[in-house]
Amino acid sequence: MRAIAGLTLREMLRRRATLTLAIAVLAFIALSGWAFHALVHSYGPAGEARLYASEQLVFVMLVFSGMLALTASFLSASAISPELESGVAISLLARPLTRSGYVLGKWLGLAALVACFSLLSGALELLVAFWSAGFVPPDPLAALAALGAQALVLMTLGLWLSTRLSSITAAILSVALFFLAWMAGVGGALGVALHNSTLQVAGAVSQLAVPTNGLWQAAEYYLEPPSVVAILHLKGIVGADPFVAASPEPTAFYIWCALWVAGVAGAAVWSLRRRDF
Amino acid sequence: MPGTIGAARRAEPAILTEQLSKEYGGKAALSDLTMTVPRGQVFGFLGPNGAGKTTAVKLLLGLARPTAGEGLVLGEPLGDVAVRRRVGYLPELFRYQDWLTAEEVLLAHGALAARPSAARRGEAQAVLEVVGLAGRARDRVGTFSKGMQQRLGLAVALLGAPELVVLDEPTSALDPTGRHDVREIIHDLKSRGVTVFLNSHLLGEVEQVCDHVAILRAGRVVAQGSLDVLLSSTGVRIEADGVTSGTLQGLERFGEIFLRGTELQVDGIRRQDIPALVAELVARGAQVYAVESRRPSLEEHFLGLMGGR
Repeated sequence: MRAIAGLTLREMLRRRATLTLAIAVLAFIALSGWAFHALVHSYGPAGEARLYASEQLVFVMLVFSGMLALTASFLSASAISPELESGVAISLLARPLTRSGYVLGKWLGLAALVACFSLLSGALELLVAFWSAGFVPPDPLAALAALGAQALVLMTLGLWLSTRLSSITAAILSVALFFLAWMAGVGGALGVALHNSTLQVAGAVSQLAVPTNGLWQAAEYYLEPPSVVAILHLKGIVGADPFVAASPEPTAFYIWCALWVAGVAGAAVWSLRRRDF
Repeated sequence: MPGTIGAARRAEPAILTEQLSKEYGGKAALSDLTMTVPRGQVFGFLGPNGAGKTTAVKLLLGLARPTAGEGLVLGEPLGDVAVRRRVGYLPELFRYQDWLTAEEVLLAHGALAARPSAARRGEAQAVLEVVGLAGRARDRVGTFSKGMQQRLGLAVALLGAPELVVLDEPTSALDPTGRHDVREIIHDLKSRGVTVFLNSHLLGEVEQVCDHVAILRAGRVVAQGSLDVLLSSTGVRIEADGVTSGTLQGLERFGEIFLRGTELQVDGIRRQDIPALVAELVARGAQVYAVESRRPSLEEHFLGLMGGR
């Protein structure tokens, strides 16, 4: 399993696609730095500028989380199926390596890459926001951890799909589910605002089915200044605005996320075990 | 009692299958494969395309699960993971990571085969030497020709001193020199007591290196045994003077007789009956100049079994 994890990590680092995605993320961070700088110079009083900077940071991180999701999906979706199609997997699985060892080795290698990439690039984005606008979110580490967890969830989903579908199909499906989960989160918030129980239930169910939006909400909460959260509570619109998070996600949600990742990774193992070469 | 266990191990066949069958989507790819591959032998597994040869190999290596039947590989049940440490395999259709160098491929396989880390680099160099790729160890697999990739596949199969080497069409991409090299490698493996399971449809090649063969047709074994028995004499050609139709009377018991001038052909005669036939001809006044036992080629035997295909 360790050998497969090492091979996977080396392969991903040598891929041109990884380099391209990394350059795209870095370009985005540089662009957001310029946007923060422009924002600070547009508003006079420092307090007002910081408030706008905090709102801009949430928006920037929303786009950033989307880019991480794309990265995690495309890397994981091409981890297994090309090896099954080309015959690389046959030569590996003829060795004393179990199917679960192969899948979990892939998962470990990808997880190391995706977690490091999410945390490092996320930290860089937060540093850029601090340097250019002077804004520090209330809990940057928790926000980065939630973003990294979101990328891990999508990576696990992409890996599972990659055991049965071609790379491109698995990547598209994975990204589509990510956006559907986000839209369902928006729908759920609208349900709260409009007192529509059907929308609320649909939002809650999709939140559990693909927990990426819940993890984004968690990251969002740790990025917002406490004053924004306090205003939401004062106005009594908790959960009704899809673009702000009024409360942290409960511990049970994180436990569910861990179970979800374990379950989907287990499904990937099961899927490969049932496969005949 | 390590000596007893060692002896028992040597005595048990390298591969044993009992009514092994595999269906894909309700269609039989392999039916009731029952065969024994003795240890230390070169075993040819023959059959036309689509006969089920590769399916059988995949069942033996746990890459596919049998629909019915069972088997043992080096004394362990099919699908056993640990036994694969003792097995080398060259798949028919394979590729190695084209972004790795030849040496890196072998190091990765050494790690997967749980070879001691200190020995991996030396073993990689040694097998690259054997397959003639020592000078290309640091080149990326993506730059290799098909033949070189097949040589690398062979190197991977030889890695870690396996007790059983399974070669699935090992020379399909090789030039005549490459094929000669593979034959030499197989002879060398045999001399070291390694069992070789050679899956091929190149009959001339199989005839040159194999001791035992099994012939598969439409998923079933239609013949198996040692090459000597399978290709045992089925005819004799005798050059003799003084042979008339009267001389031949009563000799039909030896086989079907054809006389063309001074050449006498007897088909279907058993090898052990040839001296008696010659003695009888001489006793009846014939002057015998030459006796040639006719052994059919593997190709003739194979085509006969395939119904002239």
